[in-house]
Amino acid sequence: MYKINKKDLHWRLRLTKESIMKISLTALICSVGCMHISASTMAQNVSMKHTKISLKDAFKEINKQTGYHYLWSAQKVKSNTTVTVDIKNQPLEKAIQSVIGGLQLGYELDGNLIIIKERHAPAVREIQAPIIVKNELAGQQTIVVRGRVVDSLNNGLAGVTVSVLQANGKMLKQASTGANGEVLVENVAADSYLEFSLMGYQQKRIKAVENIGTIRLKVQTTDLEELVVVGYTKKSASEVTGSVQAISGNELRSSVSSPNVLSMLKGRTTGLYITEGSGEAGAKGEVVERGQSSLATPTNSYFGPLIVVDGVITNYKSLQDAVNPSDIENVSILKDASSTAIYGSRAAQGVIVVTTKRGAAGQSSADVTVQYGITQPRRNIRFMNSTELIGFMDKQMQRYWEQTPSVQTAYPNVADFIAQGRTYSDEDRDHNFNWEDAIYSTGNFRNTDVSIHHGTEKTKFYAGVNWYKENGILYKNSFDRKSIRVNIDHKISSKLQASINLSSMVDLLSRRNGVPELYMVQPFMDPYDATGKLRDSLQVNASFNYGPAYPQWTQNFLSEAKYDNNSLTKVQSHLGMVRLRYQILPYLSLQSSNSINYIGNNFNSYLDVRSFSGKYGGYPYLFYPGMTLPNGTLDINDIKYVDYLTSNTLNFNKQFGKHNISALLGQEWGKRTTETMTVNMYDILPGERNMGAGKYFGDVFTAAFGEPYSPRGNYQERATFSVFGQADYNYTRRYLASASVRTDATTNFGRDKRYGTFYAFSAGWMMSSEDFMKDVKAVNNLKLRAAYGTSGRDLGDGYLNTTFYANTYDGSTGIRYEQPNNVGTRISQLANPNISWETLHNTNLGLDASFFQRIDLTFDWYHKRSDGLLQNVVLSSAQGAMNQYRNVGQIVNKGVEIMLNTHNIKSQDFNWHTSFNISFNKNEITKLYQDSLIESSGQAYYRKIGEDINVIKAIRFAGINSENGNIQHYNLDANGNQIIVDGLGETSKLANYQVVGSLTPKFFGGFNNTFQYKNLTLNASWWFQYGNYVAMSLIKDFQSPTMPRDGYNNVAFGDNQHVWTGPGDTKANYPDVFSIDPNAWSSLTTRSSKLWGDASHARLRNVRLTYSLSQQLLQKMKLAKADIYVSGDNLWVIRKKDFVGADPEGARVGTTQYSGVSTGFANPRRFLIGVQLTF
Amino acid sequence: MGAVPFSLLFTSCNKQLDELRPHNVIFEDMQFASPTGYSEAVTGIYALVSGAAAIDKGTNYNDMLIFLSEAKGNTIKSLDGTINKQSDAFDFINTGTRDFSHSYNFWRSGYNVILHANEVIAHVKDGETNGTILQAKAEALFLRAFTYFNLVRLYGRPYYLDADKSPGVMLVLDTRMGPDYAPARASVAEVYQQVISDLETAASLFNQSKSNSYASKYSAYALLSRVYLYMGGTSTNPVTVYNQKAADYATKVINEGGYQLLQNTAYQNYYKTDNPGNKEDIFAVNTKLRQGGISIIFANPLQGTRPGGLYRPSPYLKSLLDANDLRNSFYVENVTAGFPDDTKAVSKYMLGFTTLYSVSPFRYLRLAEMYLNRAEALYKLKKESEALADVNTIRKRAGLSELSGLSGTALFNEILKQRKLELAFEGHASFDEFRNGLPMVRNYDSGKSGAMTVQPTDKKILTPIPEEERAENPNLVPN
Repeated sequence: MYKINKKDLHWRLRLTKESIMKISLTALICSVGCMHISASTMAQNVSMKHTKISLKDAFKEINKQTGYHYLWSAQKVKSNTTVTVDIKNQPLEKAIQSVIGGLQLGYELDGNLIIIKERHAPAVREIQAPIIVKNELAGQQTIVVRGRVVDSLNNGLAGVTVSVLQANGKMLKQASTGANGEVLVENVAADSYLEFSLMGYQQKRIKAVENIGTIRLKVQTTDLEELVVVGYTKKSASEVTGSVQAISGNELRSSVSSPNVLSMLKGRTTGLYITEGSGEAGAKGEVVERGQSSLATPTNSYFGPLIVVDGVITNYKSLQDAVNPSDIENVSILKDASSTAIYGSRAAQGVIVVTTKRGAAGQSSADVTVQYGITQPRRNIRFMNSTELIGFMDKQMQRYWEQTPSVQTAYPNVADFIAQGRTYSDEDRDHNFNWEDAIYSTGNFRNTDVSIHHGTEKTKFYAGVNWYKENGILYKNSFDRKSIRVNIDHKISSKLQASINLSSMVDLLSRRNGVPELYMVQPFMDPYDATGKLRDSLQVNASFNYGPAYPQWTQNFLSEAKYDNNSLTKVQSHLGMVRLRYQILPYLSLQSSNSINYIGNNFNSYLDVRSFSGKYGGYPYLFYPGMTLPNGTLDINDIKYVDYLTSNTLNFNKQFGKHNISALLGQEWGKRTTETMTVNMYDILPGERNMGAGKYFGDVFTAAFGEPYSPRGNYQERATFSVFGQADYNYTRRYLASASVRTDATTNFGRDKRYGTFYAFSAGWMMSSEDFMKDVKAVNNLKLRAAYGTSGRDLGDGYLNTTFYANTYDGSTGIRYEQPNNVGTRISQLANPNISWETLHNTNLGLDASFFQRIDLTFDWYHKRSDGLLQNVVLSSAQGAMNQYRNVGQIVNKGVEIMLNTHNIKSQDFNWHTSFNISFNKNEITKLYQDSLIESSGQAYYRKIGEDINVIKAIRFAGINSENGNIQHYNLDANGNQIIVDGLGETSKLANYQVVGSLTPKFFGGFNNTFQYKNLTLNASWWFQYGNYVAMSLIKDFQSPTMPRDGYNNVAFGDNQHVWTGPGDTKANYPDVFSIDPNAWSSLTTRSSKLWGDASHARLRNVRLTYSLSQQLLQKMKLAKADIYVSGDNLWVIRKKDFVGADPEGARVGTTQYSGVSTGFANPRRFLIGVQLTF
Repeated sequence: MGAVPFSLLFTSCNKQLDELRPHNVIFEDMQFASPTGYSEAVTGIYALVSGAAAIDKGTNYNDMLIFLSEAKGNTIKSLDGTINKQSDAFDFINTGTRDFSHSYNFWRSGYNVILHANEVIAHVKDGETNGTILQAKAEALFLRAFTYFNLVRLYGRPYYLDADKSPGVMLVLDTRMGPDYAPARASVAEVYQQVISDLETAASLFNQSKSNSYASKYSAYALLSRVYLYMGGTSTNPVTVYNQKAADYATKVINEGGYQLLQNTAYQNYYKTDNPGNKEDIFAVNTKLRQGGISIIFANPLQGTRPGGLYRPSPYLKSLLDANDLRNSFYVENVTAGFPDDTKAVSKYMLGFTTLYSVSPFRYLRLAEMYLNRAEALYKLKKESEALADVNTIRKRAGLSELSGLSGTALFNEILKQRKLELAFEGHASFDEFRNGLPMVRNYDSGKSGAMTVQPTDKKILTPIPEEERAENPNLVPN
């Protein structure tokens, strides 16, 4: 990809529209698929005869004859300068020389692009007299340096500054190269260095020798204007009319350490609300772009954007599965219709375009990155220790005794009651095992990347291998990834190009079976017996209704370390793509992309017969003496996805005077097959975990109850056929317009309703190019954008307008009756003849501006309307009480996004950059075809028009009754007046439920600062979100009066929880935890607003300090680049004072899981050290 | 770009799209393309009734049916001090929300069963002659009637209380009524009429011999006997025509059905055997392939972590049991910690009871009930000696002496007493009192509630219409 420096004034380019289109085409390739075109090359030789032809027209002529496009990058010489040319059948390069020979111009060829540029120095220039620094040269041997400096095509580079340096970097003298790049420097100290520099090229330094030979300078590719992938084409950022954000791979990799790009994206862009609810190794996180505009369905609960990798539309549901971070060149986030409409039915949730690294011509380098780090649990709660837990249980029994006259009659003395009914023994008081340390401990990870870039004019390649291994914080939880990627670009002829991408990723996630959640183990449950040996099982006592305690057993996972009692998830992801582009005419090309994507998910869960868990299959209580035991269990679940996609496009672009037109016509066929298989086995050969190792098919329930069992499986196939077109127009790059249309046919909705047509229009105005803006020096760039369009929702389920019966049922006994072989059928899908597409209407207005060369601002306003919202509706009983897909209503998401990048301090040695972004989103239900939508978790309340799709409603907490310790809430009485009641009051009265807030934040964003002092770089990244609520369910579940009696542990009360202590306690903010009164702790359910916590927080996600080795050292070590850094992730969290939970990370959006992290763990703290070397 | 190439491209690719199909499913028309398909579709309905109802995998329809039809009577005593779905019914709390009431799942599961029955019935053409298909239709009609009857007696007031006007349940008889279909509750009388009509039609269509896990002509007659008995008015204000029907259908079953009352040891072991092959059972919901959980409500598991066995035979029921009564065999010693006075538990659902689940059938219709139905109907028809003869048949079989000279209220009370003793925990508990205009009296304390007397006119005897359903269908008037 070619990039143009926009920051350097000397190199301000005047790109013609035409040339840009040509650039976009260099990556595009021609089709084989359905069209047969004989490969014939265009003439490479040029003939022309003109007197006083403008430079521009001369190159147009060359373009016509050769197909080579041109790019104008010279400032001083205008393109309307006239020249005289008379050539006959000359090779291209000669022809160019003839045109520009008389001017102070040079050129370079890149692919089929001629880049015309200014010469820095006079065409012919004498070597300047050496500036001799006398003393330092005295007595030293000197040499005369000779050689030539060329570009990647061996064109001599004139005007290259040749600096003679001492080993410590001190400059001795300078010279310039001649017209053909020749170097001649006299009086050079033998132990000095030569540095070659020319604007627009990478600097190069060598040891001074007499004959330096040919020095090749590479084109500088950093800090140049990016080309952005938009749909099936690439555009330069200044041409984009939609809302697109690009983040470079380097920027992503300089933040948090993770095998998941999603994690790196958090806080870097606007519009992406990312939650990471689990800190387990290999956890994937969730993302929603610009608000939730669809509803979860059982088969499609993915709300994230469509993931496109190198132009291939994929079915990946996680960026972690799609690409390895080290392979990323850049990631573009497409948010508005003009960018996404061309992806049609799948792009309603936005698009994330991943571009992987490729080789560049004239480049040959290798990169090695090695990282090592440790991870630590970071949890803001702790569970009770033995003393606390026993004290809690005693006090609770005392309160029960006080509240229950019949118990007082039976036990006049409360101590007798406690002694009789308690579930712990006196010995237990002396045992206090720290389960938190046993279950969570410090983990570590290491990451190794090796990659090679290489390119000649004809062939370029990139190859990368990666190995990531993390030993997680959770007991024996690990994630291992090995990946390899090869990207090749090859120019078969000047008309035919091929790109080949191959990538393979193999992930292995291991999770230990039987590791309990912390609430499941009481601190006095000691995994060791009196002799210090590990017990094979743990006994815990539970009591029921305060009767005598009875024992229960669970496995002791610590004693089973020697057996592989774990569940392994193996994910294999292979993606191969071949893309051909054929240049039919200079302005017309044909491209065909063909890809195959295989994703294999294999889940293998094993319990060894020699372990206690394995013997009882993990459920010891199911088996009484004499029953047949499972004796080892093995569960295998296998899912294979195979995707095939072919996209064929015809691309046109041409310039007519000041009018630039490009267009594209395409056709696409994609098919996905999914095959699943689940087999459960028991009585397993010890140490074996394959299908042949089991004696019997079935699960632990089959073993215990002798029920019929059969393995399960499924096969699904679905396909989409699409045709699409796109047209772009601009007038001198000042006025831009674009339109696209796409029709999809899918198997989703059956034959008659399978078509969906989506379209988009957009326009842009480069205001800063207008004459009236020329004198406004403060404004470097100002562009206004507007876009409107539609896209659709891909549902995932098929044939929804048909009723199906099935003779299987998702349960072990299936749909059988009386006799195992008497299998019935039931309705598995009830036809909805009216179902149709969910369509998103997306409006975007935006502004890009930069000021004073220091401030970049991007502002976007959007309005997204989802019509025909699809939901898996719970049908009313009158309609059969089943679930059915229906179009239920309309949601609107609207919001504002601001991205502000500033260069606060700009100096030679010290630089300070700040990047701030913030995204506001408001979600609103604007239409419902029924009266309301039921909230799907507790089904306690309804969502109505005007409310957020994730609105949380609860009965409003009023306080604590200081006299009896009950919780109080506001209710409405029969006349609609607000009253305060003990407990929740009327839970079935819908009017009592008031809006608490939403599951999604009002706004979120990132704040990043980079300080650079000489070779040191310090980077700090913050994430913040405000106004989202999560259910603090641990209060209800794990701070309960009775859970300890049932054999569980409670979370110790935090400083922010003042539990009612007795009559007259007016300061309490929590009710009496010991009371069994239903109006006390039992009323702390999700129906109470008290249980909903404001999870607003700010997190210091990363601080990284990098030291870059100096040029001198690099030269010594024969390295191009060497960085060493230390980094810390998740260092500080600022959260609401009254929030109760291990971590305030937000709940997963769109599902019925509202609890967020609760007692689990998310966001561990990481520290790492890394080295990055470029050879 | 023109429309022509577009449409050309689509034509070729439509073909490719058409080649794809869903897998592991049976298209509706294929399901009903053969007589076997009808049978399979009906087998599916039984499976739903026996537990696999589609609403909530954690709730077994059959368990709810047993519990709810027993919950508001005085055969059971609760040891449960907490608020939950069981106590919601037992303590007459009637919240109607799905968190704290079985109503939501029970109501919806019922209508899901009805949907499946309606589908089968709708696919049978007029004038169909195939025996297998007609048998399937008969069974579907029976199952629909069975479901409606259970709904109307839980959600509707007793028949004698203005059945024409009091709301029963929605009558849904067709399939695919469209998204706006939201019927009001039909009257109690209309629902009963539909039940009778379905059963009578079904009875004329049965033509195959299956085990008593399946509906048959005599199970239709037996259910008709019960339905007419429920319509027969109170003892003081009986409706002759219905009682006559109740007696007639009972007689048909007793005389023609080929069923037998089990005697002595066979009777004592009755609930330790499965229903197929059993001569006393007329229709039982077989649960051999289900993980029924009703037993843990009635008896504490031998080991395990779950609370259970909280609903015990009431002191009142135990007080009716004579020491010589063979029916003492149906209660076993089963201690729940902390309740020294309630060590007996009913063992009617402990067949194959391991630690969590039972495979006991729900003996919905059995011969003993026919004798008792007939006794009550005959009493209301003023045929007291014939009524006494039927009661004595039941008494004798239970090892009790035959009574003589009993008449009037004493006879009626004896009939009800024998019903209570014979049919305890089989889903008759409060209905026998309420349909006769009698109050349900608990003269004992339970976990959360004390002694109580509930009149049949009290609205709290009705199961609440689920809140969620009312929100979806505003035409549903609440109970």
